[in-house]
Amino acid sequence: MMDVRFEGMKDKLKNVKKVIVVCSSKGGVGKSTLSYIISCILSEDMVVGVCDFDFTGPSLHILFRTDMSFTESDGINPPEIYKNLFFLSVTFFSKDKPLAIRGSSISDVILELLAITNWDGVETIVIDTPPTITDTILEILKYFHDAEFFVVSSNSILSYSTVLKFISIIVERTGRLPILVMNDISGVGFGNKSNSTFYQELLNYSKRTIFFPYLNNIEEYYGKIEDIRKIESVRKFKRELNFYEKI
Amino acid sequence: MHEFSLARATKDTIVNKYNGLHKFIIYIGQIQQIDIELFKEALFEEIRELNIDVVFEEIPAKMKCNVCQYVFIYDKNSLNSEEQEDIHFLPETIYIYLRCPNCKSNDFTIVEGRGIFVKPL
Repeated sequence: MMDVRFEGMKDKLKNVKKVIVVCSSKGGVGKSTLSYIISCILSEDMVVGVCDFDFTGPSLHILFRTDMSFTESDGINPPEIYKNLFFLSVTFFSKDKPLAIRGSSISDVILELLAITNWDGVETIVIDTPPTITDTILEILKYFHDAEFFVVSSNSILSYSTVLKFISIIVERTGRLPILVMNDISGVGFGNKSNSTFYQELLNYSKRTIFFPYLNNIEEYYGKIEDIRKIESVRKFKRELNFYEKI
Repeated sequence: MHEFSLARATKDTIVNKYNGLHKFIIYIGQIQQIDIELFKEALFEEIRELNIDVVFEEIPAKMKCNVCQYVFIYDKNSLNSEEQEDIHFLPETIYIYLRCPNCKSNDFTIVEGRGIFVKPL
C-alpha cells in the first residue's frame, strides 16, 4: 500500500533546482531572520520560494510583514509577496491559531504541503525550520539529502558548544558539510572566543564558515525587502554565499 | 481544487510504483476531507487511456487520545464550515479544533483515516 503524496511531492518539486535549509542546534540564534535575509538576497537574481516549516512557532510572516494567503488551482499557489519571492506558511491554514503537533503528524504536514503546493517557475526553495534535531529536520533530511544546509549559531557558548553534534548528524545523512553561519546576535562579536576549545574545534571542523555581524534595529527592516538588500553587511553576506556556493 | 493534484499523484503512484498491474483499491482517509466525487472524476480522467480499474473505499477517521487513551471517531459535523475548510487543505489543523471527548485534550493520534493510499488488487 503506497501513500500517493510521495509521487505528488516529486511532481510538484520536479523543476526546483535547489533547496536551502536554514537550521540550528539551539533556538534564538537568528535562524528565521537569516532565512528572511537569504530569501531577500537570492530573489534579487532568481525566483525563490520560502517555506516556514516551524509549524508550532511560525514567524516568517511577521518578518515579511505579509498577511497574503494562497490561491487554489490544481493545488495550492503560494502568494508572490514580492517580485520573484513566493511564500508558504502553515499560518495560511492554521490562521495563526496555536497548532500543537508531534511525531507522525509533523511528517504528514510536511508531506502534505510538499505534495499539494505548486512551485511553478521557482528555482530555489528556502526552508526555515524549528531549532534542534526535531521530526521536521529528520523529515527534511529524508527528502532533501542533497539540499544545502545552513547551520546557524550565535556567539553564546550554549549554541556553539552544541552545533558540532548537530553538524555531524547532517554530515552523516547528507555526506557533506553544511555552511556554518556564526551570527553575532548580541553585538559582542566573536573575538573573545579564541580560548574556547568548543569554538576552535567548531571552526576547524567547518570548512565553510560565514560570520554575520550584529544588525542594529533589525526589526525596522521587517517587510522592507529593498532596504535590507542594501545593508552593507547583507551585501557582504551575499558575496560570501556566492564564494561558497556559486549561487 | 487540490483534488486534481491528488488525482494526478494517485495516477503517478499507479504508473510509477505498480507498473504492469491493472486493478487497484484507492483508500481515501476521511480526514483528508476532499470532494470525493471530484477526486474520482479527476482520477478517471487521468487514467482514461491506461486500461486501469479502480475502486474506492473511504476510511473513517479514528483517533486515540495520548493523555487518557480514549478512542474516538471524528464527526465532521461537530466543526463549522470554516474549520472544515482548514482541515480540507491541511488535515493536521484538526488539532486546533478537535478535542478528546473524554478528557478534552488535543493531544491525540490519528490512528486511521489520514491520507490517500493505493493498493493493488
